[in-house]
Parts: sequence; C-alpha cells; structure tokens
Amino acid sequence: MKDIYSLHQMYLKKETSPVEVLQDCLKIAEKNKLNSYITVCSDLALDQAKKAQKRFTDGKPLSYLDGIPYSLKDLFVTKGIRTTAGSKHLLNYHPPYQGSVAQFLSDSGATLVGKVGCDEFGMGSTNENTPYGAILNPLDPNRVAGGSSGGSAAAVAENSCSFSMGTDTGGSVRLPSFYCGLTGFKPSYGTVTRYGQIAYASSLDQAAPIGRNCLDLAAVMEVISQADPKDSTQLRKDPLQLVSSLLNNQQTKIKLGVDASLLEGCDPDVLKELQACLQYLSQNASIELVDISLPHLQYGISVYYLIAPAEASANLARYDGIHYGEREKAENLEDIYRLTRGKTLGTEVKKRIMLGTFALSSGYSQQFFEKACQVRELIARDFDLAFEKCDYIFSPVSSTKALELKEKRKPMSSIQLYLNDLYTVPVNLAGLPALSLPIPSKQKLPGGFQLIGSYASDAELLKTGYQLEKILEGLS
Amino acid sequence: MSKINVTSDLVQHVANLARIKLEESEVKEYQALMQSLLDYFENLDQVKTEGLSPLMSPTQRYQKNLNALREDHKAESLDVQEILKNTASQGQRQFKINSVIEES
Repeated sequence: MKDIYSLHQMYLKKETSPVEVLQDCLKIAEKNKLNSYITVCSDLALDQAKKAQKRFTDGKPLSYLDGIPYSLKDLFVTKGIRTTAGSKHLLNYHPPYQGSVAQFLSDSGATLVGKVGCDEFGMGSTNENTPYGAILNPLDPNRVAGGSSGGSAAAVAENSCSFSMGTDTGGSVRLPSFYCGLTGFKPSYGTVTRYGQIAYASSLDQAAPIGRNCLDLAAVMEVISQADPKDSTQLRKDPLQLVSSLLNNQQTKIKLGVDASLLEGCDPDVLKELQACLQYLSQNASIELVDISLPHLQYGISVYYLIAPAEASANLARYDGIHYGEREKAENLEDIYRLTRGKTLGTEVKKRIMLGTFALSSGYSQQFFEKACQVRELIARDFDLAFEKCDYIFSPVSSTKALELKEKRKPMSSIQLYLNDLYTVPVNLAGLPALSLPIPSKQKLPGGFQLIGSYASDAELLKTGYQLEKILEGLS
Repeated sequence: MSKINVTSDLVQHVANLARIKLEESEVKEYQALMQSLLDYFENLDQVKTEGLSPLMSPTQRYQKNLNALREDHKAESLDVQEILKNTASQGQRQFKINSVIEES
C-alpha cells in the first residue's frame, strides 16, 4: 500500500481511485486473518469512497485524506457504529453520539474501513487482554502486534487501511508501531481533542495516529488537531499546517540528547540496532549527539501504575450496567452493580480498578497517589533540564522486540509485562510529544527508536522525524 | 512508605469500594497481584519529595487557561429513544432498574 501523500497524488492524476483502493482494503479487512478488526464497515466505506471519487472527478478534494481508507481503534466513539472498547461490557453498545476525532476524519473525506481491536479499555501492551482475541503481528504471526492499539498497527501493516487512529496513554501507539515496523506519533497532551475517546486515564490519554512515515502522520494531524470546544483541556490552537511545512523543510541542525543508561537495559539485538542507528546519524553533518541524564525515569513504572489505575478507577465507575452496556440480573441495585462489573470486565481491567481504588482509598492516598504525583513532577523536570541541552531526545521504544504469543512465551509477571512500557510512560506523565520511528533493517522484525520533543513542539518534532527518516534511508 | 500486607480482607474491602463482585479464586489471585505491585512501588521511597507540589495533569504545568470552557449556547439534545436503545431495561422513556425504596 502506498502512503497517504502518494495515494493523493495518484488520485489527482487519475492513476487509481478511492473506490479501487478501498476494495483492495476491504478484501483484507473482511478476511481478518490477523484478527485486527472487530467491526468492518464495508457499505459505509464504499459509500464514502464513491463520494470521494466524485470530488476528485470534480477537481474538488477536501483534504489530503480525501478518499484515504483508515481504521479507528474501537475506543473512539462512532455514532450508530458498534463501539466495544475491546470489552465484553460494551458488546452491543451503539453510541447515540459522534466523537470529535471520528467527525473530523469523516469531514476530511477519509473512508472508514472499520473499527479495530485493542486491549480492553486500552489497558495492556500485548493486545491479549481482550475477549475479542489476541491480534497477531503481521511480520510474524507467532508474535503479538503489541498494545494497546494493536489492531491499529496490524491493520496498517497488513494493508487493510492506509492509516489508523490509536490512543496512547502510556505507549499504546508507540509500542505496536515499533513491533510492526510502522511510524506512530503521540501528540502533546491537549493537542488532539479527547471528546468521544473512551477514557482510561484522563491526564495521560491522547489520540495518536499510526502510519507508514512522518508525512502520513502530518496529513492526519492536520485534520485531527482542529480546535474542539467540547474538550476543556484541549489547547485549541489553529490546526497545524504540516504537510507543506514538511515537504518544504530545509535540513536543520539537530542536537540529539541521549541518556546512555537508558540503552543499557535493552536486549542485545535491540541495543545493537539502536547503537548502529546513533552511529549512522552522528556521521551526518546536521546531527550532534549530546549526553543527557534523566535520573527519575527509572521510577516511571511505579508512578504510572499508581496514577493511571487511580484515574481509571474513577473513569470506569460508569460501567454499572444501568444506562448502557451489559447488565447482570440480581435482586437489588447494589448487586446489579457488583455482578455486572465482576462478570463483564476483564481481569486486567478489574486489577487496575482495584489498584487505583486502593491507591485513592482513605489512609493510603497520601502514601501512594500523592507520592506518585510528586515524583511525576520530578520526571517532568528531568525533561525540562534535558531540553536545555538538546532539541530532541533519542531513546528506545521498548527493551525487546515483539513478544511471542502468550501460549508460546515463558510466563511473565505483571511487573515484567509493565516494564515493556519503561521508556514510553514518562512521556505521557510529562505530557510531551513523541514519535516511534523504525530503523531500516533486513531483519524480519525491524528496529525502532523513540524521538521525544518538548511540550507543544509537535510540528517541529514531525519535521525532525521526517528529516531523520530521510537520513536513515541510507542505513539499510 | 510503610510496608503494606495485602490480606484477603483488604482485597474484599477494595472490591467492595469498587463495586466489583469477586469469586473466591479471584480474591487469591488479586491478593498476590496487589502484593507484588505494592512491593515494587516501594522504590518510590528512595525519592525525596518534601515540599514538592503533586503534578496531577500536564495542563497544570503548561496551560495558562486550565479549564477552557466554551460559550454557553442552546443546542439540540440527544434523542431519548436513541439513548434508551443501549440500556438493558427501559420503560416510559426511562431507564428501568429494580426498586430501591421498599414499601412500608
């Protein structure tokens, strides 16, 4: 599958059409070999593609995304289209309203192929925490696609859509992008509206696209970064004009900060690729490597797994079986709540609700929740200090490549699984933007690295990602 | 941080606060899980945080307008029948639940 910009050019030159491209996507989506999709919207998509095709015939495309097939993580609310959040609780939920990201994308002319699977309510890094089944890695079906936006990454990599919208609370877009050899972008907190994004941890959640390169992500960000009066935490700036600024970008000097101690924790094969990548980048005249130190990042897992569950325990209180969702039968109202939540929420979700409830409960909240929030401030300060010395930070995405499927790998404890997120959660805690970029290689599972920017540097970060992408083309 | 001993009573207490009914086998499972996580979180004890104000949200650090409210204006409400389609039990344009007040 071609990238968004190339497809757009082909549509303009009538070399292919939105309907033709969509039909190829639907063939793959309907087979659903990797279990990427929960719901495929064939009729709706075909209708949208025909309308897009007419606009190209009339010479009036709406945007770079017009006629581009995409998928939405099933955590984005879509009016009238089943939205499960990967949970048994929302098995038959058909939202009566439209979320803003879905609306912006629909207004841009993009065609919705379907809703893709995820870890239940976005809680997980392997996409195995869901009753809808694990999602397989398109590069190696014995491995996981990563989570929680695993359906998004698998759908793009299997060519059933051109891009996908995921969500990133602690790495949920950057990790599956890395596992599947794609490019993912977690915007600064407040860049993209959260209205109609089913909440997991509200101070960390951010809608985040997955595509094939930085130009794809730029085209999507132009559309989804629109101001939305329905989210009071959104920055509400003018939408970013990104595609033209990337294409016109002159090579600029980049100071790339590296904390060597972060690389040490990686598996040998991941480390080797990161080092080779850094070595190659440092040979380029535009790049200068700078030593930095981020001493509090080692506490990121503790801080994240106290704060995110605490927020989740409040956000998920709404799933009581009364207004929507599945409802268990019981004698009295209290028992309806308890049974419904006990039976229709998954193990990982219940675990995080319990952990969060505990961390906020009387007698423990100061010791756990407040302490975590104080260390969160120290993590953010580490980044402040680092950005006094460098423009962007180079770091691993994860210490290992895509894990084998649960039934094939050695059993892992919760902590071992949570440590997958060691390099990604600090970015959410500080609210920063970050890219997950592949390192070209001949391996079945490509390498990848994370590029972190300072707060609200999203446009500049995408430009830098684009520049590094071009430089790294020479590496493979 | 004083060491927390996660007992099955504590698990039941938390499950009760969270309105979740746990099976007996689940209580044991969550007890072990919570214990291992809380033990891990003890690494936060190494960090000095006296006098630091807790960071609850990035908006606190970066946004001047902490809670940007929109202009108030009249708008269409959602359709009641559309909303009720998602509930397990309804009647008379309302959500139906078991009675909570007993007849005297």
